Amino acid sequence: MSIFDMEGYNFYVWTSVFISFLALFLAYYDALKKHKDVVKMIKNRNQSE
Amino acid sequence: MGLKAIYKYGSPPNFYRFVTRLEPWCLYFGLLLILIGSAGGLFLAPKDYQMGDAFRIIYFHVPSAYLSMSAYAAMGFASIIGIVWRSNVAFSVAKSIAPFGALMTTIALLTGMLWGKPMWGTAWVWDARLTSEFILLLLYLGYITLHASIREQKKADRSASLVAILGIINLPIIHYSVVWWNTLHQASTISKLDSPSIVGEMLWPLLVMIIGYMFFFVAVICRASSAEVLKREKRSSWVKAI
Repeated sequence: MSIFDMEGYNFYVWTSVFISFLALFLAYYDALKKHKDVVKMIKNRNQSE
Repeated sequence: MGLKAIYKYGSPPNFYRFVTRLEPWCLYFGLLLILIGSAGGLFLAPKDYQMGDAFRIIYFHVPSAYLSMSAYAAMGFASIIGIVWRSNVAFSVAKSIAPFGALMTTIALLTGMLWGKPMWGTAWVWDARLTSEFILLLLYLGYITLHASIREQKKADRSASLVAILGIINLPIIHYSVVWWNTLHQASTISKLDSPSIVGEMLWPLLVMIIGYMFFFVAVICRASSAEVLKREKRSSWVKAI
């Protein structure tokens, strides 16, 4: 069986896979960025005091 | 979870230390399970005799739908703790869950549409399951918008929490919508583990994916809520030491 030959369902299955992984990546990236930004803000504040 | 644990992890420094230690374990374990589940669902599971390969969307649709509801339940629970104990940490957790929950609800709806189009001949119908899931998305967006629109932090936390708590009523409606009403959406596949409506070869990747998504969710919430706690506690001495 070839996973890239799904009898006309290729678009539906692979789009689902793509958007699901993209959402997981964006969710973690957003959380990581929020954390980095806050830590940076606190460090800048500490240095200026 | 006992009262002692609520009080212990209700302390921002204790909570921060706990979640920063927990996050990498959940992230790597969750990603590993998601990779195994995806490979199992896409490459190893046999095709469905009626739906063919289109059924493989289940491995991405069901975990995101489960997570959209579990995340809302967690947000509602955190909001109750926040209101009862006036816990800043609980409010931070609830606020961190909202964007992730909204994203998972959107993915559940989109993958459902991608599955519905070839199977039902239409991407959307206003049946009970789809409509109640769409209302869940509106509840998440309502929480996020309300929180962002109120300047005073405490007032924003309390008002948004009320939306979260009231919205909990939608969770059993989503779950039982396929039982209470005639819907185009199929009945639950794995609500009864002793007699699931799916064979073992197709079931194991689905269970692995659901558990993987749950661990990933915990990792994201650990990271996002630790950022929110730091932001709220920026003037505290323990934050300056970081």
